[in-house]
Amino acid sequence: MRVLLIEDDGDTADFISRGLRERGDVVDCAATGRDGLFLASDGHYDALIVDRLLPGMDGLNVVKLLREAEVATPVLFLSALSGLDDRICGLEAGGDDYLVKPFAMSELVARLMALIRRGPLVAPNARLAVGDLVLDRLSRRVQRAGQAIDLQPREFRLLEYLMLHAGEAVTRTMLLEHVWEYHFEPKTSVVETHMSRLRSKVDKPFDQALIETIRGVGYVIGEPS
Amino acid sequence: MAYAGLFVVGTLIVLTLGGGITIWFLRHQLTTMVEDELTDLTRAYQAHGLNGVVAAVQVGVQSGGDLGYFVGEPGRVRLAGSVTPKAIEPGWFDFVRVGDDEDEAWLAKSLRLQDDVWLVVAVDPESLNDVQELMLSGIGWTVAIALPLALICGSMMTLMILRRIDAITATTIRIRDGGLKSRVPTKGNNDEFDRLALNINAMLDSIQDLTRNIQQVSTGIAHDLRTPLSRLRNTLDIMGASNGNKAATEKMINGAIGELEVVLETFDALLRIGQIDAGTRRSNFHDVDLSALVADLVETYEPVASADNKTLTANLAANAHVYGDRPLIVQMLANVIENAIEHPPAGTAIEVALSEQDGSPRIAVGDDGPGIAEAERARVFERFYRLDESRQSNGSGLGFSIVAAIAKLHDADIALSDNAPGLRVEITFAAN
Repeated sequence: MRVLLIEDDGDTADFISRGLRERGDVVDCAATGRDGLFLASDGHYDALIVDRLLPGMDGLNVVKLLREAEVATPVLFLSALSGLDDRICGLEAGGDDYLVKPFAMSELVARLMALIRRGPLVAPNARLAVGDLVLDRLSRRVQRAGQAIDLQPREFRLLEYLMLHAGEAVTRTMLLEHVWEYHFEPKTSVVETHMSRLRSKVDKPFDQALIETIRGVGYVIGEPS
Repeated sequence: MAYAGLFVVGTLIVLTLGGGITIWFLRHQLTTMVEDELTDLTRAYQAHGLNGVVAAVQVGVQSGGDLGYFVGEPGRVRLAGSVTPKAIEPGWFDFVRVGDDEDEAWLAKSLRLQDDVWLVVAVDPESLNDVQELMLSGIGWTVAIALPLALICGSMMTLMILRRIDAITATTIRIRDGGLKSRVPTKGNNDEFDRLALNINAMLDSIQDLTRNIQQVSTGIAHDLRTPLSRLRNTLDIMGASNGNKAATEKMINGAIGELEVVLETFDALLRIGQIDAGTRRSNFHDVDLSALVADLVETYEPVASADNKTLTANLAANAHVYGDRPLIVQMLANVIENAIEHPPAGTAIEVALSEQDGSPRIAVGDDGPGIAEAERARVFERFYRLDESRQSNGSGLGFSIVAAIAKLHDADIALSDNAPGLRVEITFAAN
């Protein structure tokens, strides 16, 4: 993956570049909004990581201008600004996701991959399949190995999200934001409890477990390798 | 004072103008009378010569009326008329009859007929003079009475206003010198000063609240933030001194990160409360389907309660709506429900009820656990309050402060009561 990182703090930039390069991604860095804008408008990157608070032109403006120039590269905003309104501003400016500092490297990678995988013009799939598990988004029916599985609405949405990101790790925070739309940290184990229920319906009665927990990161659904 | 002066000057101007116009009008009437008569007599002269005008003058004299006539050579001979002017000026002039004073002069207009023969018509401006005298005396009395009256009223009003303003000033000086408890005195008569005083007092109440919150926060921060930070410091200390056993190091690193997460959570909660308190989110208010929202929350938390050996049931009215901020309402209710799940022991039954009374939606979360003692219930909302003084329980002590802040933003009322047994938390929104 080719990633452009627009970040003015040297330490943060090093941290992110190192983390991504270890995975084999190619990372270019720009320290100001204008340099970033210049590099990004060529459109050769798979994703952009943009810090909101930059010297000169701020991150929001960079992305707004890119979108006006019809550059559709997915953008992940990074910021120390954690308010709900700040997130909404970022998304309205044309960003695709918003991550608050400080963050865990695994969280950054998971969200980045989710963005890149989604891509600009992907036709929505009505039928999702992982192994012998099939989910129909229109009829809201789930079956595995031919047997129907009865899911509560929330469990369905949880499984749907996992399957939309099949093969990629999704973090607890991503699930809270997209499946529950909770923008706060619950004190109780909401995600774990519902994931456990989901697994007892989708994995336990069958031979192989498709949903896997990745320690320190989150969950992933996929055919066992 | 200036207003009193202005009042008097204004009155004078009005009287002068009014009087002036009246006098002008009256004068105009008189002069018109004279002009008309002159015109008629001139016509008589043009038609029948001197004899004609003489005859006409005699008619005029005999008919009585207010006009005086003269036709002849002034100072020498009078051909006809009722008055005899000594000196004549061409056109309009003042004519004093013999025996009259200067100020009783008649208005006269002359016209030269031929050679030394002149025609004069005059009128007694007695009515005009009367009006003028009346006006002047009127103005005099006005000044004599109105001016002192205005001055007295003016100073009385100024005194009253100054006294009220002084009261406010005195209070603000007391406050500035450190007494946030002082309030501006009000009279209860709801005039402008009272309303100003009430508003200032409300503002002082707000400021006092905020100051109290800041004091509470400083105390809580001392514990809730310093403790994890100091544990973190200890861990890093140990790691620095240890000989690098990989498994042990990894465990310590995870522990350190955990402590940092707690610190960050506390900061976020504090920030969130600050933002909510500042009221900036009111502009985001929209229509929220409370019935759907609560049903969703129950669906989310029922498994969580169940996993903790508790039951969560719902009793929800349909179609309850409220005007507010959906993510904040979700957070507030999630907080209350999570408290009911976390604090009471295993086996507790929790019920979430949504009802609507007179258009006012109410959400009640009740459990049948040990509840909270009545004396403690008020303190629950303080920042950083915790049920157990040793602060062993999870999460920051800010949970209920967030609930209180969000409720206040929505003008909703929170009440804690005895659920007989257990704790009952009721949040009542204002009627739609």
